[in-house]
Amino acid sequence: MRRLISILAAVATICTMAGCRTSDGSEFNPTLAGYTHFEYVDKFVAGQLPVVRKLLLFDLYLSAESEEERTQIHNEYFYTFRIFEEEGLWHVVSSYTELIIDTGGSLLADEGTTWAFRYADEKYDTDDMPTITNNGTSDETGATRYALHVPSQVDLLLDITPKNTTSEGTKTSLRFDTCISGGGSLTVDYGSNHLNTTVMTFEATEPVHTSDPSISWFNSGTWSIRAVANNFTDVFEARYIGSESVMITCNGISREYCYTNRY
Amino acid sequence: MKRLLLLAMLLLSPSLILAAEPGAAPLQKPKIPFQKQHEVRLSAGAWPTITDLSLPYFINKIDRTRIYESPTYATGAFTLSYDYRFKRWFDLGLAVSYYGEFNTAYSNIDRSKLGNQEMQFISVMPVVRFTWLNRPLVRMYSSLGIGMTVKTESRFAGLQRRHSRETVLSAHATLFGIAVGRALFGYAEVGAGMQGALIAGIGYRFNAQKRDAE
Repeated sequence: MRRLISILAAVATICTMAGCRTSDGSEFNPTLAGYTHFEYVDKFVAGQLPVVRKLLLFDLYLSAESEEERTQIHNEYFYTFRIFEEEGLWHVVSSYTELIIDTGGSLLADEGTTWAFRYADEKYDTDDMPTITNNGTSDETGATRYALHVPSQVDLLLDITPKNTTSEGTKTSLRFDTCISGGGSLTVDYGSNHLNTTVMTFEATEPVHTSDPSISWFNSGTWSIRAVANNFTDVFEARYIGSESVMITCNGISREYCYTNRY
Repeated sequence: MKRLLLLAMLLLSPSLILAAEPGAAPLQKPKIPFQKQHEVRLSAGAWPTITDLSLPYFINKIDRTRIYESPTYATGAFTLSYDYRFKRWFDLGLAVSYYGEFNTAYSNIDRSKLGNQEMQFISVMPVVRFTWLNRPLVRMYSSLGIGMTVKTESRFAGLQRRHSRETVLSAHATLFGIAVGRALFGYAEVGAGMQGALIAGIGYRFNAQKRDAE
């Protein structure tokens, strides 16, 4: 009997020792899906802007009044690029990319001008090329409003103010302060089995701002986002709080997310 | 922490018992006539190494946001094994192991309880054991087993329950094992694999030597 009790005690001890809590679990958070969708919208919109910056710099290049000035702009902004015109189209070529621009013989700085452009190696949803149009300059802010149209993806209005900034001890650099309004849509497939294809439509309910799309994240503004998948429709708001966090609001519940290490 | 201390004591105690006093005459190896033996063991192990076999829809980024989960509790890895001792230094056997993890899923939309989630593993593996120290009361050994593990999983992806069952190769290696006792014995092991990183258990030997050789 004593031996049996000893064996049972040993077994019980061993079993107790082996079992354990392996994770703390998670807490109720209805904004989590919204934040996940937001990451895609934020990345998608940010991804549209570098080409705008390049087009504006290329416009500077074209509008140079002398060969000397053009060379200076080339050396400063297109040092690793080869620029040439062929059959009425401009080609801005680096080792990795080739941007093809149809200027129509006009400068983008001129009000009413529309440029069509595309990257040679990028696939677009339609045969139509993306365009950028100069819609004129605001008297209030001095910003020039550009309409960026990427077929079946985005229609964004960009209020852009070029700013020369000089940091102490460094040379002057040109920044394009950008405020975005308008919206667009994108499709995200969250799963490899295509059961989770989500169509997101987004619109800026407060202008979304960045001091320069090539060097900083969005730091203010609000997106209203609607994401529709098979079983779910998520409607929420994403408001930038500085460049390192965002407030997601869904069904009246808000939560702030920090994302210093994004993408 | 208590568990670690207990295990450390368990592992260290035989070596303290066996340590010879300085200056004492060298002990003569007791001669034990070899007898083929059967052995049945039952053990529990902590921190098993489990191959993650999750299906793609289980790791879907957006589906994960639809639920939140209670803390997860694991059973520990329980192993029942049978060995046959062919030679003084060599055993061959078969081990069956079980390990499970359980928690509860709730909706991230309205806090409602969706149901319990579980992930269970059962493995079967042939095991070879090499005994490198034989004493009347104490044996030290290493072992290696390679076999198959069946994983069954039932959990929520989105708000829907999904089930999966998969089978993969699995293994367990015991770097150091010590068994103390005669017919009925306790043992502890350090290793890696399906049976756990730290293992303790009890076993019983058939046809075991009842008395030490004088």
